[in-house]
Amino acid sequence: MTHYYELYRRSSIGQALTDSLDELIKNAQITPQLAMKVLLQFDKSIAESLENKVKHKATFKAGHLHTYRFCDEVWTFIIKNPNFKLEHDSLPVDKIKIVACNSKKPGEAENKS
Amino acid sequence: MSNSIVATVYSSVIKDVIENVRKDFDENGVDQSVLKELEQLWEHKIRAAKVATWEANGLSGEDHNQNNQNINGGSSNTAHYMQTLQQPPMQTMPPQSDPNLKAVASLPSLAVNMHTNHNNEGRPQPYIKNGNNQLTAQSSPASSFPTSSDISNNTPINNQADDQKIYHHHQHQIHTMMGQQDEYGNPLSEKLIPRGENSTNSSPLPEFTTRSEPSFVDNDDINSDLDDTDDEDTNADGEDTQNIILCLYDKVTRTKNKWKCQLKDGIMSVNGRDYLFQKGNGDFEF
Repeated sequence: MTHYYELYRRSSIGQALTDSLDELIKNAQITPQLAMKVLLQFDKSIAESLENKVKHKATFKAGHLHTYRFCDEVWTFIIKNPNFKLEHDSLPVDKIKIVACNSKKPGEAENKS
Repeated sequence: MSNSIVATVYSSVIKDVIENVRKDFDENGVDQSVLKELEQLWEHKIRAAKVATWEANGLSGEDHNQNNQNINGGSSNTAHYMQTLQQPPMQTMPPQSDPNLKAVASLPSLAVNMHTNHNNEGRPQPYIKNGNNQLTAQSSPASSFPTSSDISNNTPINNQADDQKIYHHHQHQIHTMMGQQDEYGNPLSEKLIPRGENSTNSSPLPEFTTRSEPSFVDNDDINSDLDDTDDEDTNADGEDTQNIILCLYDKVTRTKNKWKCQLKDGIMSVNGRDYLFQKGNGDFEF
């Protein structure tokens, strides 16, 4: 059983799922255990979709690295005024936070399984 | 541009998850209609978040839902259930909120009218004078601060006695404000207004104003300092949470103050919209 990061549960689609599951649990339609299984499946689905379906490349340059942190294999950067480009479209951002997990860990697990 | 892929990826993720947990729902004895409801709730929420353009995919998705509802008998029940879930709060909230708002709004306004009508200018003064009495009582023994010496020099005992009289009158007025406004209100207002006019030329009122202002300024300073620190904290947190990239890193390197990051599989939430990237390179200076 490969492990997937729960990182993407913080995204908008992950939040929408957890909120929906919360509603169903409150209405006693599903158990929390079943909701956990759904979230685990979401971790897998979102990771695979990002890996296989998304081909876009992003660059951020000349930004001022305001804060960096490395804890439990997770990098956290806070960048001010990055020159941020996705493909050829630039996105104006004054401040952005990057939360990054190690890509090796699930990769190794996938290779073994 | 690249935002257009977000809707397709998200809807494919939703379908993938729903299909893959179907057996889990079966094993737990949960009806398929609940799974259908989960899918609809999820899709509804992510669309309501407006993080992506759903227009093209949204129509097809709605068609799918409608078709499924027509095909499956159980899903129509879920649709009704969802409507009943969603509608009651919408209908019950306004009638609940309106009388509360009216009641809440009417009570203070009545109270304010009562105070303003019966006390006129004298209403706020008791509190200021009360504070002044406390100030002089506290500061006169200390006498180390220049403000305390000024206060003790400038405030004769007579004024304090007068103030206390006025304060007691005000207390009477406040206590008897509701019932006996004619007996106490008229003589007091006659006493209060000339006293205020006379005191503008003499020492008491300017002292009151000068003394009351620093106290308010001090309060404002304290509050503003607290507010500033709170604002800074909340701004820092808020900006952190507003624009966020969730991704994996292949490599993070640093030479002196120059950082290089190789990122991949990212979900970005920037300015209320979502973007996805397979690879991301970052160069920044600390």
